[in-house]
Amino acid sequence: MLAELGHLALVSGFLVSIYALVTYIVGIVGKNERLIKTANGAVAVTALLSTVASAILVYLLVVGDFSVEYVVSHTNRLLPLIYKISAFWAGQEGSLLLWLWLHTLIAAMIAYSENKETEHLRPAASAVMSFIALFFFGITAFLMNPFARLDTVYPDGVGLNPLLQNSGMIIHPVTLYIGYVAFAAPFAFGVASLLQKKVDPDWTKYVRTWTLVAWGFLSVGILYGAQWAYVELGWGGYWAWDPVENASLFPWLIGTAFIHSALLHQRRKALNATSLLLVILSYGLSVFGTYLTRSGVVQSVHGFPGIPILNTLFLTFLFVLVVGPLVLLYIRRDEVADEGQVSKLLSKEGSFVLTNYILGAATLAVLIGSLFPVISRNLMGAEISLDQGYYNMVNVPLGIALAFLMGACVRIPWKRNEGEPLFSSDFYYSLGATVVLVLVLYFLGVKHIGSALAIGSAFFVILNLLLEVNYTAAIRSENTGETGFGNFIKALTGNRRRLGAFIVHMAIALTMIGFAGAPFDVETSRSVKLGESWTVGDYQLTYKSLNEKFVNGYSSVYATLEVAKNGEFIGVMTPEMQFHKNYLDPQAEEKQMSEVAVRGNLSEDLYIILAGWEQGGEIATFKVMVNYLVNWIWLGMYLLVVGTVVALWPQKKMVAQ
Amino acid sequence: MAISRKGKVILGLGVVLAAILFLLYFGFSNSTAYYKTVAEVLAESEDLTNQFLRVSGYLVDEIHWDAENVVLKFSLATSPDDTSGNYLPVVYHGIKPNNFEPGNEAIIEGVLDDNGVFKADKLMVKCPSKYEENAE
Repeated sequence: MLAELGHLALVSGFLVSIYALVTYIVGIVGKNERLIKTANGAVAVTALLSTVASAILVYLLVVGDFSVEYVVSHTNRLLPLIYKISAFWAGQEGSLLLWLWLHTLIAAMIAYSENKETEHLRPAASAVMSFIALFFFGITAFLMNPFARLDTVYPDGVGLNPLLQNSGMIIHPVTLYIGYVAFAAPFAFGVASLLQKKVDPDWTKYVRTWTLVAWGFLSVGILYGAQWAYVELGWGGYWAWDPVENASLFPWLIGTAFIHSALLHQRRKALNATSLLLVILSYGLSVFGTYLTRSGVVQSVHGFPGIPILNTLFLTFLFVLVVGPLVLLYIRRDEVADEGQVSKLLSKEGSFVLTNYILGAATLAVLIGSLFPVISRNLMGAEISLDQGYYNMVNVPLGIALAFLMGACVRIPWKRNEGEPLFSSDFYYSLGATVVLVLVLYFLGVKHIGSALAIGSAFFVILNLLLEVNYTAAIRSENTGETGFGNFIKALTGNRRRLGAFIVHMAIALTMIGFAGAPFDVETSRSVKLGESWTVGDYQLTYKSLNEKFVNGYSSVYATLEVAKNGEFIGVMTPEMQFHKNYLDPQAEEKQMSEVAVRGNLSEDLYIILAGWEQGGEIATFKVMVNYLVNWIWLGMYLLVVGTVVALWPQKKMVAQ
Repeated sequence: MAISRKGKVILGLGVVLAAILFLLYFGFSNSTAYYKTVAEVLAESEDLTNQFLRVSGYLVDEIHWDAENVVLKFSLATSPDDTSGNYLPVVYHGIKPNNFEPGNEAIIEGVLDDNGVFKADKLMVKCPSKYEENAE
């Protein structure tokens, strides 16, 4: 009964969305306030309906209604509660429902916003949101119904893929989805402003919050996914330039460009058309990435079976979503022309434009790389894939150029008098110090130019961020008479938005340091006898024993290793191999999963995988890696969250203090 | 004056674009791998010898794991139910990945040697993704 009710909620949501869309259009065209109010009500109803559907699905998963196909496919009786809940987004149907649910909540927040400034844009923006909701309601109601029943009731479910039973499964998909979905809000306002009689010149101001929310969640989703892959999959790496991973980068890179473009638009009334283009692409690429992930169009290590009709529908939707607004933008190109102009490349504005170009180029490079098998299959008749070498070749120089711009841009003043130099002298000192650092690093140890440059540019960014605060502090000191460290801190924290940007840029620099370690990673695979010792890098490992334990739902074989660093005992590590049964089919092969042992600090991680054993553990095979600087990436991630929250924190509270 | 400024901006952006194109070209020329199926590799083995390839296929019941030397020898078939015996022999120096079992799909990267044996540098078993096919 409940499953049918859930499905009914989705079908009703589909109908109510049509009603909302039509009512908005009629209301907007006829300038009928009452109709628009009615349409707002309809949007609230869709949010309610998708909430009901989501709640029912979670309930079915938790109580284990094994007559529902989705429940059977993604849970079993022994699965811990938290993973029964997370099974909500573990499969195609459920994750589309999660998308829909988040989308309708945001749509309702927009429709019921009380912001006077955006009043004139909201009906059109809500119409756009309703159009998108219509698509997702349609898909879940008629094509990918999460409530579909099986002919028979199963005694138990298949269970959740053991790889997904990890805290990563709880955080990564949800954060990523909030990121993707929230980009719909700035997109809707961008399109709405294009639909006005007079294109709204202030639209970028209104979408700042939504954009930062989307960007922040997307960043965390990506980085958390990288961390999950690193600790969970036993591949030893955090990023493989796999098309499915790349899919999350497209909207992130273009979204980053949009944030900068929108900032320039707010301050200088420049780059209006660029901002509109970027906001359309940000959301378009979010949807495209999701399409790519699910379609099976490109070969990926994260395999998905493609569903032809879903693919066709997704592509059609995407086409309308992106091409429609682009045509509109083209038609109204003269009206969105900028009041302000970027007339110099060597200026604050110029550095923003260059930043956009580089981010755009990186997006294009990753996009071409991900789609190259498809492109080459159609154009050249042979499927050619590009390996990691391609991505590194293109993106490392772009990343370093971007870091240079990041460091330089913050030092160029917004207001510059005629004849005033572009940079103060300490900028050139910082540049000199960076060059010296890169040379020293390169010739004294770090014999890898990319790494030396990456660390150098991170240093350059951090140094210039601090120098800029120092400059602000000096001005503040002149005005207030305060000096010293207290003055510096007040200059740093005086403006929330700037503080947020400061922290986020700092975070990106730390992440770059983390990337610089990758070329030095050591990797060895070796079989050893019980009691044998061997050396990997600075570490000495001794294989002490192999044991088995039974945890609820699976069994686990684990090895005990004594680890010493430079001859000094530092601890015991226990890499595991887990065996997960398929409860529906006891004959089926158990699923294996490595549980790696990782021990690390800021300089490096010691990373051990138990790969196999012979003769009951007399001999065991280990893959041991020493991964350098990886923890800086996660450090950057945490700082990035802090920075985004600070940037979003309302400034008024500051004043009140 | 205004035009020359604009010209400078265009010139500057032109240089940036050229640099980006150069990077793309350089990236392309160094890291391409032909994506082939097992059937294609077997059919065109003479042409493909000593070329860098990326091959996907299905594991069959011929897996030899030499633990002492950490060498994995196995064969790939064109489809999961291919029993023709017409398989691609592969040698991989490295550990046996998780779920390395007959029927699972594997992706390898490396070079086909003169004897028709594929020397893989990289071996991945397709991760049974979260969107895996539903239970029958």
